[in-house]
Amino acid sequence: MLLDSVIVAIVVAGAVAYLAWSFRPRRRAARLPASCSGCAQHK
Amino acid sequence: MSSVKDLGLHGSGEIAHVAGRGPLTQRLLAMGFLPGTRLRVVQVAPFGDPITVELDGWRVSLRLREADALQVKSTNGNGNGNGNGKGGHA
Amino acid sequence: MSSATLAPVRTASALVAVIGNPNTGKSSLFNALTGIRQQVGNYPGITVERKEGSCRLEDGEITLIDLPGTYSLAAMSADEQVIIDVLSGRQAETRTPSAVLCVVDASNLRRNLFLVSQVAETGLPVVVALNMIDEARQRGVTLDVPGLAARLGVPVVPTVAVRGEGLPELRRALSEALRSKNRFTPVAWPPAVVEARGIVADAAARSGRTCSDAEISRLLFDVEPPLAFGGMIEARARAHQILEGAGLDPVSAEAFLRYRHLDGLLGGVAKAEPTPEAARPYRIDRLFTHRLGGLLVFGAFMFLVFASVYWIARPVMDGIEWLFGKLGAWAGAALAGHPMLESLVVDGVISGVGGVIVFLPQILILFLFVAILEDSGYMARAAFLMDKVFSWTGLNGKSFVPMLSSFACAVPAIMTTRTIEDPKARLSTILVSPLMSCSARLPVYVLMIGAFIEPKYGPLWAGVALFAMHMLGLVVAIPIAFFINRFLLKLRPLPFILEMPPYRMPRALSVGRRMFLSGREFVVRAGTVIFAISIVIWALSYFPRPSTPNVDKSAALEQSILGRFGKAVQPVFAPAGFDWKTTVAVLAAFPAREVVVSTLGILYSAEDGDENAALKQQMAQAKWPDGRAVFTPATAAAIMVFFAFCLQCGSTMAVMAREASWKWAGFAFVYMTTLAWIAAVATYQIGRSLSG
Repeated sequence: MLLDSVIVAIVVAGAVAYLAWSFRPRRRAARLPASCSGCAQHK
Repeated sequence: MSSVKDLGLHGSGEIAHVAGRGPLTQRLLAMGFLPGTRLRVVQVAPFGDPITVELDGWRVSLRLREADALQVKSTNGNGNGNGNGKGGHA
Repeated sequence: MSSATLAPVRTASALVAVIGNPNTGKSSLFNALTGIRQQVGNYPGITVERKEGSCRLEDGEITLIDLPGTYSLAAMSADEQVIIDVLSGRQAETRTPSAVLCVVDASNLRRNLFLVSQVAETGLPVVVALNMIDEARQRGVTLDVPGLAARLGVPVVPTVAVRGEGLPELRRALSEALRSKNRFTPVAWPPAVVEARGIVADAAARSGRTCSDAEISRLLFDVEPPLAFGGMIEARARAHQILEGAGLDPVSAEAFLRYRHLDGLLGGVAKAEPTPEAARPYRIDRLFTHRLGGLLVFGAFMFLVFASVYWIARPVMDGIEWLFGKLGAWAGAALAGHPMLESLVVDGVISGVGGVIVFLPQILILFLFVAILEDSGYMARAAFLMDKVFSWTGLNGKSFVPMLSSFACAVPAIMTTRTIEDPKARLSTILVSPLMSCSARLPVYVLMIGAFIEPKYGPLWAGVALFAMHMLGLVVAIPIAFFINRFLLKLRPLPFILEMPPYRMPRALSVGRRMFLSGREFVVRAGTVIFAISIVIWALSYFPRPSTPNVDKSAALEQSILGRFGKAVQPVFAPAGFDWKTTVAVLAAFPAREVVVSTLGILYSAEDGDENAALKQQMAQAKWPDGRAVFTPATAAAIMVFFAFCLQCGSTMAVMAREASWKWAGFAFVYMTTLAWIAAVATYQIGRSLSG
């Protein structure tokens, strides 16, 4: 029964971790260099 | 000066001027809508909007609002608009 | 293929950008070169699809990056902006390409070369793939290919991507171009333009930027240039004055001069003598875009697509459910002595995996039809016919197919929004698609209407109610789309400029490949998330266990985290007439909407809810503490309305998260749940006062 609990705990923790990992913004949007500020005003 | 809107279905014309100073105008020009280009209205959507225009051997649809920028001289009855004014390039 | 004999002349995977006009078969060529060795992602910060793949050349591997199709580098939307950013090496997290593969429609050389001429100014080596050369010949276009290559100054390879013709030569040309730079014959700008370009280039240099010729062209000619720096505005103003002084209008100067240059290059090497064949691919349009006939044909096709996804997928889905049911039963037997593990495996894992796989038939069928409609060219006609309806929301006709497909299931529908190039229009279509009443909501409607509407009001009103529930989403989606576009996304109403390509016969290989790729993508990107969510919800509905063993499922659920949460949250839903069991059932439906019915079954102890008769009976008898019936027609209506508008569907959210981002999926969840709550409360209160 202990083994069961361990297995379940691992699986659930894994699922939660995976969800947390997929929540992070896909890639950190790189800050645009200042000279590119022009495009921001047009889009 | 009439616009493409006024040509009606199957009407042909030659572009006299592309009105407007914005990105849309530049896009139309880049696609080949230049003064001197011959075109023909080949389709009209059920509500009258958008329309499809044939020029240079290809077809493109535009809303009336955008097509309005294309000012044309009507050439109805002067043959269909398959060629352009520049001599048969592909 | 031994790379030992040829010394590798560059690092293992040079990046080659693939550009071209829309409808040139660029995607087909990309797929032909990369096979299924491709992956899809997003560019950071924007919902523009980023497609990369590997291609093996004689002397090594290259990475191809498929850029969005466009007619000109003068960008009109975020996805077009990406093109010039990637080519200039300014796109975050993307290397600068080492070469550009330009896919050109051989029947429309002049217009296609406009973009090529602009792109060549980046200084990158160029290879031109003269695609759909077979069609060109049929239509009477004669091309002197070697002559053309000589005039353009770059390799020109005739190809028929869908048949795999010309690919070996293309690969060789790419190797060659990466080894020895080439140069597309540059435009011979008149003196005024040279001077104007100089002014802009100097101003850029003074502020520390080195710009390629392509960027200088953009800075000088574009009404809305893609970049800015100190002193740019003044420099442009002076440069434009120079142009005007020479009789050139800055707005039309580039088009005029560039096309003149192209006409010069093409003279004598490209001739078009339209054959009777040329008109044939368009003849069907007389029917297909006819004011009346066109709409009828369109209706028939759309019905076919919708019916296929809705009904053909059904038996396959039932088969999958049966299969997983059997699997679950077997696993249950195998794990008999371990209730916790058994529940995890059966109710969590198997049910979770099954919940993902069960979507595949719908996705594959929908993508089959979408691929056929797109490859044949009909999709453009569909967008053309439907555009007016969408235009006043700020969207255009391209949003139609995703929205229609959402009536079957939003999951594949959201994936088909890829056809909408503009990221904001795509996002807004994604955000309203789940409002369409999908097939998973049907069990709830059928249960509620069957149990509480039909007995009291008869089959006619039951039918009306069912129809109304489906229409509800559509009617509400339009103003919401308008609101989202105008105020939230500040979508600049994009022009609707859509090419009507000649009708073509879709190719089985191309269609099949797209089906496979989209299926794979769903399983890998969304499926994993859906599975993880199923596990988490299982845990929330299983723990903590009641201390006495063999308690019935209803009591166990009541005690779980989910159950307690439902009871705690129930007061929020009281104004909508929900009791705690209904609330828990709605919450538990997050992994898949249909689960609400089986959960109600468990809670009303009707043994897994399959016996709808038993469930209906139990529900009809349910009473509040003060003796009033829990389920009245008003409650039933409120529950249906809530379900119509809510986003209790982890799969939809997972797909939204992958196609857009978790932020937007979260926003959709919040706005839809709020809308659902308001509508449900209103429905219940109005219904209650109407029935006295």
